[in-house]
Amino acid sequence: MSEKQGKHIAIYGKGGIGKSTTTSNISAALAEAGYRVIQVGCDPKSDSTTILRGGNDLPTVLDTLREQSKVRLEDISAVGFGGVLCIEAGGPVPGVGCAGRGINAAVELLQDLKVFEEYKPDFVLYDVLGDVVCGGFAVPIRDGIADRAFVVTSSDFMAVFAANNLFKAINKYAPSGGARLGGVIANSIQASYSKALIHDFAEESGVPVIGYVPRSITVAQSELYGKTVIEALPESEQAEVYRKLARYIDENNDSVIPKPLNGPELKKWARKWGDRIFEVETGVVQKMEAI
Amino acid sequence: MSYLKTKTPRIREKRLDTLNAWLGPAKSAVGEFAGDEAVQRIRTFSQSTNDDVLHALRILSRIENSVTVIHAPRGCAAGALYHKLALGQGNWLVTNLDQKDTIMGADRKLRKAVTSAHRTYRPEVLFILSSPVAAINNDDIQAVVDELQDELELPVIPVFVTGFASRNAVTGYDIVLHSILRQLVRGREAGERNGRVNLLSVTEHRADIQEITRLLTALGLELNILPDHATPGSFVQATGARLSLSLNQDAENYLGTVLRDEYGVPYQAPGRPVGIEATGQWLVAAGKAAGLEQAAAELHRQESARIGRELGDFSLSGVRVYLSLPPGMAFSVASLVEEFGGEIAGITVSHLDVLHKARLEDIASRHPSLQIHVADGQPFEELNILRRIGPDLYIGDGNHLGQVGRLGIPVVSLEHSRLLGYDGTLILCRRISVVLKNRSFGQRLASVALPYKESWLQRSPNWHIKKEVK
Repeated sequence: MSEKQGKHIAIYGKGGIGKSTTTSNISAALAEAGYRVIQVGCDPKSDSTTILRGGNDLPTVLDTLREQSKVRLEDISAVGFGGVLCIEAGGPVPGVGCAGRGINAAVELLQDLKVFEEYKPDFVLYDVLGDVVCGGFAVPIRDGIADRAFVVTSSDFMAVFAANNLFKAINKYAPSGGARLGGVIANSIQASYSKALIHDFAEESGVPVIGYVPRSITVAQSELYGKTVIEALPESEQAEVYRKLARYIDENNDSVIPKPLNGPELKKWARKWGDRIFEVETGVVQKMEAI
Repeated sequence: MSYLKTKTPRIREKRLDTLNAWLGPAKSAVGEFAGDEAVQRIRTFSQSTNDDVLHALRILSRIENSVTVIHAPRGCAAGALYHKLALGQGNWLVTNLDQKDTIMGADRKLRKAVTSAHRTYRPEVLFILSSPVAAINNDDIQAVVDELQDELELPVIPVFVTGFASRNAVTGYDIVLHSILRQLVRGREAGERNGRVNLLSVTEHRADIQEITRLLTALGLELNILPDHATPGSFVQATGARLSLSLNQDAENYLGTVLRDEYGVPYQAPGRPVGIEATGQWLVAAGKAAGLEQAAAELHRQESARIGRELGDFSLSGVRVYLSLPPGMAFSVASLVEEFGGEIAGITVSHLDVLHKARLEDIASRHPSLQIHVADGQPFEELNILRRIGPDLYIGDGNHLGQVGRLGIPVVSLEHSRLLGYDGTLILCRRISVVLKNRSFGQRLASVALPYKESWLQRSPNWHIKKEVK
């Protein structure tokens, strides 16, 4: 049976938005600051921790469970940059089974193996697939596994839509003991309006933005080296951005229950920003207090 | 570290090394539990078996002033229907999950069912029993519990059985007991010391409980009987008891263990009081733990003399008996058979685990080659064994006693039958006498063919029991 050790944090966001990159860099920054960190990839793609461990193979928990009746921690984990313990939950063969239940089973196994008691982490980061697609994927925020959740989003509408869905899930589960929201991490900030758009969405939902991560060539470069920015380019500005995020997570325990937008509100909000972006891009001059 | 922090307890395989498939001599069975971890076997074909949902319903149907909302498709309520129809126990409703519920989630339906159950039965405690469908679907039962518990002003206890997490149905007992303790007593200080003795009883015959109560109250002990026929207050009171006494470790070991480890209530599990000798030992052990050893020994002298007179010259000398029962019951009836001079021809138990280590060692020291078969609901394996062994008498409680009868073996069924204490012993011995004397029914049944092809029965009985190779 598991006693909770350290801070358990779930990081959600739409697929392809940069969750794993962000999570891995936060893990690396926390490790660099001297903390013991476990990162658990909760995605059937099982590539959450790749850049923490130089791209080396790591059998997933579910693949190992399929092959062996008895699983040991060393079978399913690898020590990555800065001593981060990397674990990938994995998933069923594509097209069959239930990936949500897979995450459930993987987390149960970690508790069974007493990973948290024995490794004594200061932080456990769960990098969870995309949107809240079903009850299974909500398990980390629902069943008291994570204390806080963070949402990674870009200024693309579909990413915002996914973030709003996650707010709905947190709003539903937090009152009955589920995780609360630590904040939004704005990722891939490039366009002139991106920051303002995410800021406005967060404000409408009553949640803080804990950091803005600019789109940077250093991220792509580091990933091609199979490393986090913290490891590959520690002196870069981008590395400092991730360190700042890590410091926020470390020093700040604030959390909120978000107020998600309902269907018509979200549509209205999107239309408002559609108009504004068009005006910015086509050079219409008027009062732009939010940009 | 608290047992009650998690939503469910560890499954039996992990907590007690429980095996549900095995066949071999007693001496090898002992070896299974000699190492750190027993090697699990799998059945490549299973004829039928119980699951944790059924076992959970057994306990829930016996909690006083309670109602159970079964959050499941309607078929999962069949077990509850059985308890209600056959035994007149347990109020229940089923949420009747359908196709749409599995896609959209069924929180609303559950809320409605709980409210309706409360309005209809006005219970003192309300249980929500999960099911395989609710577990796979990840329905958020806890949210409904948190919401309605305050509104309805009564304990609403979620019981998270899955039907598949464990191969051993007895895990269902642990889950119910865990859920009750977690909801009713977790985080509380131990109850005020009340000097009572917790009599831990799961699914015992009512008359058996009366017999045990008669004996213990004769010693001057005040009892708190649970979980059978208990109320929520019984569980709170249990944390302040002077002692917990087990009647059947297989079922209530988890309850005794948690009360001991978390609330400091000593837990005594001196076997089962079946047979004159064992009842005496049980009674003396209970008396000793309560500081009443002399009185218990005296009571045993009186009672055993009375039963001895009643039994007259009853003897099982020369009778080879096969037992097919849950393990605690099987080992205790085996002692009774030997006490009256009978011989154990073989034993089928529903499961086997570290709780039975001492009994296995005892049996293995006297009968190292005695065959132990571990099977829950595998009549064809058992019939295969019985044809080879050819016992004179069969004592069991399964659903396949008719099939055993077709082998021409006299059968005593222990289902819904009295067994415990001096009076239970007397009743069982008399039933055995009748069955052994009146063989005409058995002889008639023997003319009916078995439902299995001869080629099946030619295979070794452990044909389908394999070691996991991965």
